Order: sequence, then C-alpha cells, then structure tokens
Amino acid sequence: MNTEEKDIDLIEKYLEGKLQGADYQEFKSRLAEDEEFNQSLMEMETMVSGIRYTGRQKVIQELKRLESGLPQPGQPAETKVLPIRRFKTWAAAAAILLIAVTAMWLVTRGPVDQQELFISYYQPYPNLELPTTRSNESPISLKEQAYLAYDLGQYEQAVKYFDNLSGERNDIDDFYWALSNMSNQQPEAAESLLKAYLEKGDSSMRGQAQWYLALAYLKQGKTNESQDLLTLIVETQSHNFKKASTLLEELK
Amino acid sequence: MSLSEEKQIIDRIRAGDTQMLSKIYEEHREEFFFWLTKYFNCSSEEAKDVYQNAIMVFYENIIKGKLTDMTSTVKTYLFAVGKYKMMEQKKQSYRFSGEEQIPHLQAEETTLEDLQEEEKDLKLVERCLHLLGDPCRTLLELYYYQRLSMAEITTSMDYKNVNTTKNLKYKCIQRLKKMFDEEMKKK
Repeated sequence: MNTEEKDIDLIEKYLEGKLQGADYQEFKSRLAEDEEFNQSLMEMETMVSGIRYTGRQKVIQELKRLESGLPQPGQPAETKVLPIRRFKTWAAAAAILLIAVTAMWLVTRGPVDQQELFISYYQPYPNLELPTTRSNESPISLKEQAYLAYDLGQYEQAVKYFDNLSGERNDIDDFYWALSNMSNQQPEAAESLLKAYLEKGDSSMRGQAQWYLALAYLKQGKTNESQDLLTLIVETQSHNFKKASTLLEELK
Repeated sequence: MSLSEEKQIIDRIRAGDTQMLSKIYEEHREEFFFWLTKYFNCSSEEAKDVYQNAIMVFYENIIKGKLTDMTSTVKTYLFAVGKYKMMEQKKQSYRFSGEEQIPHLQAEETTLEDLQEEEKDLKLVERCLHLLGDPCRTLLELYYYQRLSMAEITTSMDYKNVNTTKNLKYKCIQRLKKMFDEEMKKK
C-alpha cells in the first residue's frame, strides 16, 4: 500500500467518524498544516457524496419503475366479482362476467407478457444533459424546470414543461421529452417523438433513442416493429445491444 | 409477523437483497396510500412520493447500519416515517401562507436551495461514474453506498481475493477523481 492509498484509508475512517483519540488529533493537526492533505479530504468528500447520490438515485428509479408497473391503488382488479343480491340477476351477471373475463384473457394474454417484458427491461435514462442547479438570483428557466421534474421522477410535470418549451427545445431536449412521455405511461407519444428525433440525424443519443423506441413498440404490443429494431441494434452493436439480444430471445 | 422475521428482512436487505426491498414495497403499498390519502388529504401522486421516501429512509438506515433490529414492525416504521414527512411538509407550506403560493413547489425550492451548492458536484460525479462504467461504477457503489465489506464485494464481483478488490477500489477512486477534474475543466 502506497502513501496515497494509506491517506485514502485514513480519510475514509475520518469521514465515517471512526478516528478516535490520538489518531483523530493527529489527523486534525495534519489538516491544519498540510494544504495538499486538506485538498485530498475535500476531494474524497465530493467523490463519496457523489457515489452515494448516484447509488441513491438508482434505487429511487427502481422504486419508481416498480411503482409504474403496479395497478393504481384503490382500483379493483378486473376479475373481482361484485356481490349481487337477487339470484336471477346474480346468475345473469355471473354469465356476463364469465364472458367478459374470457374475452379479456384472450385479448390481454399476448400484451400482458409484453407488458411484463417492458417492465423488466425499461429503466429511465438518467439526466446527463442539464445540471439542475441555479444561482439564487436567476429565476429557474422552463427548461431547467423540465429537467428538474424529470430528475425528481415527476414525469407528468416534465412532459408539460417540455411541451411548452417549443422553440427553445434542442435535439437532446427532444430525447428527454420523449423519455418523459415514456415514463409517464405514454408510449404512443414517446414513439412519435423518438422517431422524429432519429430522423433529425443528431447522433449523440441515437443508440439510446433506438433502444427506447424498441421498448415503446413493445409497450404498445407492436411486437414486429420492436423485433425489427432490436435486430438492427444487435447487428450494429448499438447501445444496449446485449440487452436487445436477450429481449429478442424472450420475444420469440 | 414476528420480530425475528423483521430481523431477517433487515439482514437480507443489508446483504444486498433488492428483491426483498421490492417485496416490502409491494406488501405495504396499498395500505399506506389508503391511510395517507385519507388522513392527510393528499393526492395519490404525493402519496407515492411520500411512500417512496419512507422506503428509502428504511433502506438507507439499514445499509448505514443504523437499523440492525426492530422493536416495531416494518409497517409501523414506514407509517411513522410517512407521518413525519407529511408533518414536515405541512410546516413548510404554512411558512409561506398569506401570499399566493403553490405549497408543493415552494417546499421543493427550499430543499433545492439547501442542496444547491453540492448538487452541481453530485451530478457531475454521477456523470463521471456513468462514463467510467463497470467494474468501477459497481464496485464504488457497492463499497460507498451499499457499504458492503471488501470480503462481500470480493464474493459478489467474483474477484480473486480481498487484496485484488482493494487495489481495484483505489484505482477506481483515482480514475473517478481524474475524470471529475477533466469534466470540471470542460465546464
């Protein structure tokens, strides 16, 4: 272990509150005398805070993803049978229900599998575009509000803000606008926005846009379109091509 | 649920069992929403935010080692955190009463101002981790966020031994610092 590594260990112990007694005093004295060591402490604080922030955001996104796949609270499941008092009405209702349930089962059987696949593969893309901070004095711009809402997982709000940006939106904003729609359970809107983005020819998020478009198709039950695009992603070894490959397998 | 089951839940979550956390999330969700929306008259969107916050508090207290065993059930814990959060939010919104206000947005602005100075750096580190990719990204998160031990990480990431993992951790921190400095220069 070299000096730098020893210092990292020491700084970690300090940050965890595990330095005590003489070790703690020695550390504090060194901080006061050694500017470089002080600098190292500040850097490690930033790194550790940032790593923890990143980890936290991931878990939060996972919870939001889990939430988005669950039925709205308070709504009865489609197959719940409501109590009916009179026998004749009950029998008729039961018959209708049986037909309805069968029909629903037949209609939703395919797409339900695709919904589950969508849920297992979809993860919101992190905001790497606009840091959502601002100075005290300047008012928060509409664009910043859009990205902030996106960061906070308030996708319905984010969509509204992005909608209102119109002239100010650049290509990358279009990408996040599409993704806000996707996370807001609007895959149709996401599809047309992603297609428009891809047609523009901006290459920075091309791979990601293709991946999400494939998922948007999947969510809408457009299996063929999804498979075609996933095949293209695998062939060109584009963004998430490994995931695309396993998804293709599961779609067969 | 007996309290020894609570202990099992905590131990499993601490060891990195994310399925367990998902299970907890689903188990108490409906009841929490029903209770919160009824007693605090909030929207279902707000209830979702408060619930997810409560789950995060529960989760992070476990991984930080602050919650190693429980004298109450997980449900009671989550409800207590939820109640506390709602009371805090109500206090914040009352602070601006008398003027035209959107309490929810105002509360967020206050929180944003607190984090303002640090958030720029946090997001930049997040970006750098994303650019660094694996194995550094996973290793650093397992060590600094999940707070797994070197031995646990060595097993989880299938490395040769603890020393290999330690050396890689140092390298990853150096790479992260370097990338952070480079990205700062670009801004």
